[in-house]
Amino acid sequence: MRVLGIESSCDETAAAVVENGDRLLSTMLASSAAIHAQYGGVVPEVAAREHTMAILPVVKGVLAQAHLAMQDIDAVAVTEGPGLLGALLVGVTFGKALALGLNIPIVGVHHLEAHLYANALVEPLRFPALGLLVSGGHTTLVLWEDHGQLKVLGETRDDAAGEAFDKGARALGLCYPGGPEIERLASSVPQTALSLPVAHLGSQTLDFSFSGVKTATVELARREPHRKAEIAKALQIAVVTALARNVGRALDQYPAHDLYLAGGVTANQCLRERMQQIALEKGVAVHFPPRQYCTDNAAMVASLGYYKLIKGVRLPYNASPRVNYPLGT
Amino acid sequence: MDTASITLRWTSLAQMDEIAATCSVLWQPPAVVLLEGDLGAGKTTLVQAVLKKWGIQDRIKSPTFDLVHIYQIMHTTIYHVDLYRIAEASELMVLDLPSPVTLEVLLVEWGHWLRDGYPERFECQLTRQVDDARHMVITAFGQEPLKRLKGVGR
Repeated sequence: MRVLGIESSCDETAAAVVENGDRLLSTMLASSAAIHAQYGGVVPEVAAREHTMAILPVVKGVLAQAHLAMQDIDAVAVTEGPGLLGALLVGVTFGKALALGLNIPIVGVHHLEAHLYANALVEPLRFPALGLLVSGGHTTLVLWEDHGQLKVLGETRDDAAGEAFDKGARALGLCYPGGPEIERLASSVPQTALSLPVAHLGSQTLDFSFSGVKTATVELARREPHRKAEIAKALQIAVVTALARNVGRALDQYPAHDLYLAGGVTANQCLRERMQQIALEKGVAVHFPPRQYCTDNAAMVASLGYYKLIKGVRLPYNASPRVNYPLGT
Repeated sequence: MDTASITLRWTSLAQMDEIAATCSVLWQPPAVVLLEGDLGAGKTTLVQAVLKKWGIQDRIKSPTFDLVHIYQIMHTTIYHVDLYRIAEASELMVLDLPSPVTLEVLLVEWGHWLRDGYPERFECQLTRQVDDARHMVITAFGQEPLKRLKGVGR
């Protein structure tokens, strides 16, 4: 089954064709990152306008790249939420119209659940597993027992891990997105004499908190304006330590044999190394998506869409985007 | 337009909780609250505390990335908005925020963008001081906010 995936929940307008959930035939992004870089963040109206202008060229582009005609597509998968209403509407409306026109099924997928499926493009998923989603908007730890069976074990109580990087980067006068900038600056020094706090929320919880480290970074940047690289390194250490601590705890509590990472922050090398180390200690296999599929893309949407379609899940033609869409519901 | 201000200050989470209780009365629906203050001044933390006072049990996360988080209490919709990423006023259109006449609550971080759209409003300026104390000036604009501010009287 060839599934056309469509993603338009935030920055990116993206399309991809994936066969049987794991074989990527083509994928494309109409990245507006260049526009966003000018503003230092996600720019909603620009984003929505970009989606409208970009969606048809991107869909035609992936089909051409895979040497397929519209009629060669067996089903459509589209990000249903969560996200910005204006942005989601473009993908959902386009997907529904296309499916109706071609008389093929359409399914809606959860954006965060889809991120985990970037891992399905590399090798078959193994359950039960633990999943860690880390991005600019989310920091969520899930128990992943099977396709469609996810339970949130912990999530951030305030800022996301990627937000700590973005705002820390702003405090240090770096560009958006902040994650890669922090990583680059952090790797320019061998070590740091500075330290930033890791939130202690209690020994039982698997929740996260990055608001305190953000505030501390802003304060440290003001106090030590000439030690930017050391501050970046301290921030990276604090964020990675917090993520690693809860992953370690969760692996002690739940019978997972595999650990899957997903989301933009997964591109961070320091995080990857730390997760590999934990996996080794706990005797589990750790999986990272290829770097190009860590951030928003449509291949992950098509992959998850396949697994929902074969279970008979469909998006009704009168469905609206789900702006608030809790994971695991 | 007439305005009036009060200044509040806190040095601990317990004290902030008392101030959140005051705010939860002051900001009963309908209310528009525009919060300003540097990164780490405590805007999100204060909003979290006020929403808890209103009985919201959902997790209240920073809306910086998502821009708008929506909560529901009884028949009132509460919009927790963050305009940190907004670069020009035209971008506000896509957020579908409620008009000034509806019975909603709008709590908006980096909220100065909305001044022109909501004549009746509270503006809150938060400052983090050197000793980690927080300082907040609440200014009421318009009749109803002024009346409420006198009601909490300080």
